[in-house]
Amino acid sequence: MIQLKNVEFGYDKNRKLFNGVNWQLEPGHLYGLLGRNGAGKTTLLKIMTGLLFPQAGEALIDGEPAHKRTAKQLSDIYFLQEEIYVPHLKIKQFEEAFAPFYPNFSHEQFVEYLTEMEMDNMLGFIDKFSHGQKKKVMIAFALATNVPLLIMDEPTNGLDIPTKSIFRKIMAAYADEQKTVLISTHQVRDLHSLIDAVSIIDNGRMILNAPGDVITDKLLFDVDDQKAQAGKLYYSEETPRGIYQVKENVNHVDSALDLELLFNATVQNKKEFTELFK
Amino acid sequence: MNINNIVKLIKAYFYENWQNDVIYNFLVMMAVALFSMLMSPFQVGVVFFAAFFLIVYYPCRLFSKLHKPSSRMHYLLLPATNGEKVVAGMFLANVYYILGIALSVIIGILLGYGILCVARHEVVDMLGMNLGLFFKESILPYGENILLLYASISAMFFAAIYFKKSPFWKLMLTGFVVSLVLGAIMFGVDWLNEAMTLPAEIRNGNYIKTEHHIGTSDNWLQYVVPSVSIVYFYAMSFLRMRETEA
Repeated sequence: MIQLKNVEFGYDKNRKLFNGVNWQLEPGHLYGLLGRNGAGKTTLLKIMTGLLFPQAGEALIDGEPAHKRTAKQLSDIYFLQEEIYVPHLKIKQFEEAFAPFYPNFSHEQFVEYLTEMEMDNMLGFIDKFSHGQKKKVMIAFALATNVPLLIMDEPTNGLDIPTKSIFRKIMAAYADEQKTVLISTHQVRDLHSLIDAVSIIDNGRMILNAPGDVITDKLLFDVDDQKAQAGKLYYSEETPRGIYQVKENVNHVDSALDLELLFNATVQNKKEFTELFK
Repeated sequence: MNINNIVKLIKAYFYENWQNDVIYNFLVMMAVALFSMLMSPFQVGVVFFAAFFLIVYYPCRLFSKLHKPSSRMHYLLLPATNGEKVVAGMFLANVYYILGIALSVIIGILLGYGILCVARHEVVDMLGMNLGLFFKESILPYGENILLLYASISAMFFAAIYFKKSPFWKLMLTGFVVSLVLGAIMFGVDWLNEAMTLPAEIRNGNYIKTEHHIGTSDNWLQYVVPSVSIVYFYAMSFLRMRETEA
C-alpha cells in the first residue's frame, strides 16, 4: 500500500535528513514508528502522504507517486497531526463538513468513540475545548473515517491517564486485516501493548522494520539479578528492580516485547540489528 | 475533475466561513452602501472602492488555510485533487463572493433610497425615475471595469497560494513593480508609434496618420493585458497548488 524506495530528503541542501530510506507498510498491522527527537519521524510521515516531496527516490501510495495527491489516494489516508487543526465549528458541524470526503465514514462509530472518551456533546465548539479534549474529538473522527491507512503522529500527547487507557482499548478493537495503522511516537509506554510491528529510524536510515513476533523470536527481553550468561547481550539497564536486558534469543523463549529496551538496543547495535532483521 | 469533490469543498468552506462572510463582509458592505446613500445620495464612489477592495482581498482569506502549518496540512490532505481545490476557489472568488457583495450593495442602496424617500415624504418608488437613472448612469459604467476586476482577483488568487505570509502586501509590491514595467512598455509603444509616424507628418506638414501607424497602447492593452493575466494567474495558481508542500 505505502512504499518508500531509496527516499532522500533534507531541509538543508547540505545536510540530508534521510539518505536512502526504504520502507513498506503491509495491511493488517499496527506499526509503531520510533525515533529520537529530530530523527525525522513527522517528516517521514509527510513524505509518505505526499505533503513533502522526496528529493530522490520514490514515495508511493497504491503504486502511484504520493506527491500527486489524487483524490483516491487522499481518501484512503487519514493523517492525524500532532498539531491538530481546529476550526471554529461544533463537533456536529465538523462531521457534516468533512465526513463526506471519506466514503467509509461511520457516524455511529464517531458517536461511540466520542462517548467512550466522554466527549458526547455534539453541540460544543471544538476550538473552545482544552487541548486534550480537542485531541479526543480528532481521534474519534480519524478512527470513524475507516480509511485503509490511518496515520497518527504522537496521538497520546496531551491525553489524560484514563483517556490513554481508553485509547488503547479502542485501538485494540480497531485494527483488522484490511486496515493499517501507523503510530509515530516517543511515548512508547503508552502504546506498548498495541504495536505489532516496529520501525525505528535513526541517522537518516530505517534501521529496524520488523513484526513484533519476529523481534521476540530473535531477541529475549528479560529482567534478572545478573547479566546474561548465555547468548549475546545487546543491551542492559540497571534498575532497583533488577537488570533489564535485551539478549539473543538462543532458545526461542517467549518474552514480552519492551519497546523502550528495543529502541535503546537497536540504536546501540545498528549494524547488527540491520543484518539480524533483514 | 470530479464535480462532487468540488461541491464537497465548497460545502466545507461554507460550514467554516458563512458567518464571517455574512457578518463581517456582506452586512458591513450593506451598511456602507446604506450610509453612503444617506450621507451623500447617489454618490457611490466610496461604496464601489470598498466593494472592489473586499472582492480583491477575498482570495487572501479564501486561502488563509495555506498560511498556517496545521491548517495547510489539513487542507492539502482533503480528498480532492489540486485542480478541484483551485476550481472550488475560483467559484468562490469569482461567483459567490462577487454576487454576495453586489447583492449587499444593491440592498444597501435600496434601503438607503427607501429611508431617504420616507424622510423627504416622497413616494417610495423602487423602479422610479431617480433610482432607474441612477443605476443606469452611476452603476452600470462600473461594469466596464469588470475585466480589470477579474484580472485583479486572479492576481490575488495566485498571490494567496504563492506567498506563505502577507500575500496582500507582497502582491501590492509586485504589482507596483509590474505596473512600472507595463507603464514603460506602454510608453515605449506610444513613443515608437510617434517615432514611426513623425517623418511622414513632417514631410506632409499635417498630422494625418500614416500606414506605419501601429495603434496606441490603450486601444488593445486594456483588453489584452487583463485577459492574458486571468488565464496566466489561474494556470500558475494550479501549478503552485500542485507544488505546495506542508
